[in-house]
Amino acid sequence: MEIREKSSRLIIIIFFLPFFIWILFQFLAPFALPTGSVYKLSGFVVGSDNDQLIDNMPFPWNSIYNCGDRLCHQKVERSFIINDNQMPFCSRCTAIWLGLAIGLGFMVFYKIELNEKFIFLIIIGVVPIGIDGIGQLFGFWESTNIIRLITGLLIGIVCGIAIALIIDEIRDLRKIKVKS
Amino acid sequence: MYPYLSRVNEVVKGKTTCPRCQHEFILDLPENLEKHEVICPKCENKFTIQAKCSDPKLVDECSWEEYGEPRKTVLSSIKPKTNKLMIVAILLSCVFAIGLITAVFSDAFIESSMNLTSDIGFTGSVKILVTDRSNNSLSNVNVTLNDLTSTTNENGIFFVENIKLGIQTLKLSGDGYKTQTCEILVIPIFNLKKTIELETGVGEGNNINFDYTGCTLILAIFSVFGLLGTITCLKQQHADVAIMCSLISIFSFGFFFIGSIISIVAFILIMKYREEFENGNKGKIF
Repeated sequence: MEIREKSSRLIIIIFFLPFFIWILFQFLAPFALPTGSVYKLSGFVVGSDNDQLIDNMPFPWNSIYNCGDRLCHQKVERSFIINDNQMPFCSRCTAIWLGLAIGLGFMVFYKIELNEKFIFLIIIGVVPIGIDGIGQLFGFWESTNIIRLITGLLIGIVCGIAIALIIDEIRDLRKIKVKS
Repeated sequence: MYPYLSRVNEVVKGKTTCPRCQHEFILDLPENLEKHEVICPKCENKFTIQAKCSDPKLVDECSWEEYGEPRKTVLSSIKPKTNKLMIVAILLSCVFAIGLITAVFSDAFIESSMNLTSDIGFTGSVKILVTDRSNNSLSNVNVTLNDLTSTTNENGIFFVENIKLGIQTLKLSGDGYKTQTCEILVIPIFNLKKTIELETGVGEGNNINFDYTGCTLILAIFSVFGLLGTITCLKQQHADVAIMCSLISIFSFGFFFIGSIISIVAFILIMKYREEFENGNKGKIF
């Protein structure tokens, strides 16, 4: 791991900023809406089933909740409640989005080489969420929001680092092509 | 400690990569600490390499890799590089693309894939337990599923087999309880079990109370590893990372298992053509 030179920071910042703004808005949304107005969003993961509630929200909060409605099950018992409002995504998804921003933010300042050691990072990211998710899926145990937060953060950070690595490697591939 | 020390000034066969055109070629080199000038047969670029480093940790100083087994007289034959890793890279990039699309537009894919499975002849079964808010089972509750109307038995259970796959609407109504409409996803092979609570009162109750186990965001996350696998295959470096990425991308479930099948194919190809990755097991870096 080394300090990233300034010349290659810009492209990572371009990817980091949308994730940062996205997660920031997710945390701001419950504060921006009237206290206790968003609760029990639980529903169908792949469809929009809280249309009426979301349509009444002002922009941009309606877009964020709409995205959560489509991508996440939004079970109330598996979500964080802020300002008496349910967050747009469940705790695990929120942690993944947060982890993505942290991972990319870390890679703005540091550079990690893609080599065999990265496998350990992948294992650290994937195994906990795999064990927790499978155990819960098959009914062996019911996870808690803290465990969901930790496992989501781990996979999110590793994925954020992976995205930055992909960007770096694509730049290297282009350099090699230009040289040859 | 270092077996090659006993072979000072022996000529050994090695592999190097031209720093300009990245062409890999095999050459004989005296095994000593001196630097030797080499001319690339492809681009005729001149560069110096060293068969043995003064410090073995400084791998970057020596762009030379011993080829074959140095202690044997007969060297392994040189296998020509194929385009298989490029194919794997394309496969894994497809896994990434379809995984991402599935994560975002999965409602359309659920419907279409379930319709397709229904057309093949698969059906599903549903077991619904109807209770009140106090968790007491409710018998004789009217349940309507598509054209089928029935009532719950004395244990509050509604069970039906051979029904069409996909998202189906269930309507429940009972005396003294609000009518509730609920969407369920009927899948093949597995029996869908669900508990539905009815609210006391008259009129319409809450619609949709679908219970789903996961979020599609995690599918998108697993797809990213497919893209990372693509990069390692394009660079033909770090076989272990490529293997790991192809394994993880199996769980992206793009287009409902098509992505997983492609990932398995990619994994098999990587394992088969693992030797084509640089820094593989065919030589030792000095």
